Amino acid sequence: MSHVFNADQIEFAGLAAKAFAGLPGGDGGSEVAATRAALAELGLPLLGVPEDAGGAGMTELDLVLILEEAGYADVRVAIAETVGLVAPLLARHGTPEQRNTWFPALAQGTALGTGYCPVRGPGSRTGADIALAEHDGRVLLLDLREVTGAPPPVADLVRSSLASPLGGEDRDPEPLVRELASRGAWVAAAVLNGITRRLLDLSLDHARTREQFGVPIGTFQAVRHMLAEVASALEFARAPAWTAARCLAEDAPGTELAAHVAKATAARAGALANDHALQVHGGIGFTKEHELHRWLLHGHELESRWGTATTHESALGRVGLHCDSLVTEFLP
Amino acid sequence: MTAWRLELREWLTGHVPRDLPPLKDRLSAQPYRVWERVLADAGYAALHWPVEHGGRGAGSVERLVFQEEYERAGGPPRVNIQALMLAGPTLIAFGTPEQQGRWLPGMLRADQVWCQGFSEPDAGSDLAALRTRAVASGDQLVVNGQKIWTTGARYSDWIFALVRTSDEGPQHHGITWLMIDLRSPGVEVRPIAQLNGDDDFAEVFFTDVRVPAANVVGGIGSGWRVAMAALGFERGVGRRSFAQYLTRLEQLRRVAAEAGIGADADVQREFGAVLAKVLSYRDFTTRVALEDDAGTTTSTPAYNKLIWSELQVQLFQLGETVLAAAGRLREADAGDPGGEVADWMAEYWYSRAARIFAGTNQIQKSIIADRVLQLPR
Repeated sequence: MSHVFNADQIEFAGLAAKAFAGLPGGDGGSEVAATRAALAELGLPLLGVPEDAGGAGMTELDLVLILEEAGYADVRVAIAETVGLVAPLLARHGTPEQRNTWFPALAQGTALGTGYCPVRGPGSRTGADIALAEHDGRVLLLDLREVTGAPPPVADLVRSSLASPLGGEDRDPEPLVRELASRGAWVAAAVLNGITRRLLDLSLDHARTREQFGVPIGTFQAVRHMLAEVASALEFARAPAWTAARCLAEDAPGTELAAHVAKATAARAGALANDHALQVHGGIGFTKEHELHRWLLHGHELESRWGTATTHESALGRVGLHCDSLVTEFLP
Repeated sequence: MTAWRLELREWLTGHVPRDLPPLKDRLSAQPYRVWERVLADAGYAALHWPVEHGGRGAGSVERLVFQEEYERAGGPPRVNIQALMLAGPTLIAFGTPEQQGRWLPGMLRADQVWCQGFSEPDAGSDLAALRTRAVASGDQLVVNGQKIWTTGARYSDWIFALVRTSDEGPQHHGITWLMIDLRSPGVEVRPIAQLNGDDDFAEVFFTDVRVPAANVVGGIGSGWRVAMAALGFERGVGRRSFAQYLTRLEQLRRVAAEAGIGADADVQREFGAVLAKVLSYRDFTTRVALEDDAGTTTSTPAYNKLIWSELQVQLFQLGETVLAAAGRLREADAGDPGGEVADWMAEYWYSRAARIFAGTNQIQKSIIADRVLQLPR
């Protein structure tokens, strides 16, 4: 498993990174609208949707580096879950009516999508008008256009008839529930890996320039070793997210397991980077004067979004302990 | 499945020897040497060596597949691993054609088993502080000094050693790579009793040992450069597969199933944490191998030792957790030499050694900080 990326995949991720870095910051209404429009201009929301449905037909292996870049740039709007979670699920399972309602809005930049994560709800990313939520064993499509302020609990939306089952009433709901959880974990893992990389880069810059005792703090072994640990954990965490991308792209039977591994490993690396980055920055990192806080806060959120490291590890443990043989299960 | 994997699976199933004695001394090493000869005759002894030297010129992914299949088949420890991984590639890179012809065939077939003579009592992480001295005398070098923590010295025939040939200039300029026959007069090997119950480490003493000057590899005073290149050969991912950890985990799965503790929440959590790491290691090593085969410039191999050694400690800690939950640790406390529990505990302690050998994990972090992160010194 794992993956090496081709020149096109690397180039496209680079273009996305450049676009993300140039987006307006801030969470105000006009900033969100401008950001959504800019992302739609690039065709980003429907990248993972088949071409005959109006998308760019990219696979998860084409998307995973772009998700990393969204984390690296701290894109304020819900583009990552739109691209990696909501749009592909709509394309794969939505009714024609659901797709006809939402794909044009996503393509034109008048809407974005988010998941309703069981742990953290819709999360901190802004600009979502559509959400996917698991409720009563089904995946529901939630229309948030009329909702003002913070999105309410799913049960309230169900009562207010702003919810409809993804794929319609006759659909076997269980595979959809599982796919929502796996895709959610995969997107969170990939974005978190990008955040971890940014935390490392910010910390490296700080360690090279901040002086104490008359020398850069990056000369101190305590600091150097913390940063080496983060770099190692980061590169260890990226490959499993790429493997999960490959499983999703191939609709492989090991997708759920791969998503557990990806999220568990990304969350461990993200937590280490979060601890060490703040420690390396010292007092300045604890103030909002320094931009570090953006990645600390979002990274910490993603550590538990779609399940903590422990949740995913326990799930893996259950599978591993109850299979017939790990060797036949996991060796090619 | 690839043709390569199929070929290996079939061949290994038919040839892997069973029930070898524990590898301790010259006598018990004999069947391991025979096995190396079988591997060499089939062309599998040193896949990564160039074809003209008896290897296969294999890429990293091919090597990983070999390791996976070797672990799946339950192949025994490789008795001449130091020659195949370090001494051989060093000879291929720095040796004269005459030296290559003299030693490489014997390395492949384990006609000579080799050990590594780098560490000394006062030169561990600070390897360049080594003091074992070699003084020219005619067309010979006379060696005096001591090496320590030498794995496998008791059943080895030769040692590739770093020796001091000069005190002039910076420490690492006066070092030379020297091949020494352990049967030379003046060599003494003393086993070291270890924390984990084994004694496969040794001290090696040299007293007026006369070594032909023709045994110098890479030239007098070039030993540091040669050794750094050699350690680079070792840092790749080709020889260590996630499969060896997966087969260990499978042993624990069976222990847990037999003891009926597979539903225990603590066991599930810890087991899953290790399984996540083992599968991540699969993905990490595959990534590094793919990048290597594609010729990508990458720093990822630099993390490998740190990652696998920490993974091993966690794996063998899990072993203790599962054995304790299964009520099996009582056997160990009551004395159970050679049993499954004793084996796990020995491996646990050996995993603690792995944080120290092959460059301590602190040295590894310093290397990453210098060369990958390019932090100021």
